[in-house]
Amino acid sequence: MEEKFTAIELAMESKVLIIVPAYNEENNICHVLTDVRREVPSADVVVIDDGSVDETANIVIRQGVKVISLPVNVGIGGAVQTGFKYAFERGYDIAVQMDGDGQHDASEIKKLIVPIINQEADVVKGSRYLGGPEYNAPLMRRVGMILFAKIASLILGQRITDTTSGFWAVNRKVLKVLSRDYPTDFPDADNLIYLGLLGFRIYEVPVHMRERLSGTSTITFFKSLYYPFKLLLSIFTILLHNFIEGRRINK
Amino acid sequence: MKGISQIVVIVVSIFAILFIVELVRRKKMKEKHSLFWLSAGMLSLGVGIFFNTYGDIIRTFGVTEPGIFTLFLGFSFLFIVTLYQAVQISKQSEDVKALIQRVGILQSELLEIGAGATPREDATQV
Repeated sequence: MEEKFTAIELAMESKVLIIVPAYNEENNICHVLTDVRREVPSADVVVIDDGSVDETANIVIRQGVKVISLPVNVGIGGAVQTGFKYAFERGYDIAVQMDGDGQHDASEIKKLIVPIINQEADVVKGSRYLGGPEYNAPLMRRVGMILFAKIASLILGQRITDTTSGFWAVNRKVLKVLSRDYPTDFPDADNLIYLGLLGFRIYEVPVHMRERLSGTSTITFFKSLYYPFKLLLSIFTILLHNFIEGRRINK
Repeated sequence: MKGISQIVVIVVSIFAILFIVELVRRKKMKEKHSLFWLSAGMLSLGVGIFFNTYGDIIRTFGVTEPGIFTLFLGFSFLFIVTLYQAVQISKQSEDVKALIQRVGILQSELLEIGAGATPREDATQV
C-alpha cells in the first residue's frame, strides 16, 4: 500500500496540508513539527495558534513553519475549521488534522492519506480502537466514546470505532463542506454522521496514541457534562434536517 | 388599594418608557431592539390607564384572576425576548468566529509578504 501511495502521489501531485491546532503548546509544538517534517517532507504544514498566551506562535515562526494566529481563543473546532478554510482557499487536495500536543504519531499520516489518494474514501479517521494497542481513556469518557461510536455505526450502517479521534484526513470535496459548516466546540460523532449522510465515504485506519508530551488536557469537568448533551442534540437535529430535506427533495 | 396599584403601574410604565428612550438616545440600544421593550412599556401603560376596562375585557374571556393572567402575559413576553436574544447571540457568535478566522488568515498572509504583522502577544481567551 505504501508503494502505491508514493506512485500515485507523485503521479497526481496531490497538495497535502497538515493542520496542527495548538493552544499553549510551547513545550510540545517544536517536537511535533520536527516529526511531521521528517515523516512527510512533501506536505505543507500550518499551525493554527488558537489565541495562545505563551510562546507557541513565535516558536512555530522560528521553525519556519506557517502559523495562523487567531486573536482570541475560539475552541478546537473553530481553530481546525480555520485550517480547513485556509486549505480550501489555497487549493489543497487533502487536509490532515493532527494535534499539537504530541499525542499523534506523524509516521502514521501516510496511512490516513493513502485511502484518499487511492480514491477509496473521502474521510479517513485514525482509530485508536481498531487493532493496535488499546488506548486507555478514563472510564466515563470511554463509555461515552463507545456509546457515540455505536450510535454513529447504527445511523451510518458501517462499523465506526472511534468518533473522537482528532487525527484524520479529508479530501477537497469534504474540505469545501467543512470550511462552511463545522462544529465550534467538540467536533465528534455528529460531524461524522453529518458527513456520512451527505454521502461521503468514511474509512477508519488503526493508529496509536501517545501520552501528551507536556501540559494538561483542555477537557474540564463542565465540558464532560456538557459533551453528551450537546452531541445527542446535535445528532438529533442532523437526523431531523436530513429527514426534512429528504422529504422536500422527494416531493 | 386598586387606586394605588393603578398609580404604581402607570408610574413604573412611564419610567420604563423614558428609560428605554434614553438608552436609544445615548446609542446604548438599537432602535430595532428597543421595539420589544417600548411595546411592552406602552402596553403596560395602557393597562395602568384603563385598569378597569382591562379587567372587564379579560373577564369576558373567562379569566377570574386578572393579576395572575397579567403575570402569565409578562412571563410569556420575557420568554419570547430571551429566546430572541439567544438566537441573536448564536448568530453573532458564528459571525465573530468567522471574523476571527478571517483576521487570523489575513494576518498570516501579511506576515508572508513581509508586511510586518506579527501574532498578537496579548491574545486573550473568550
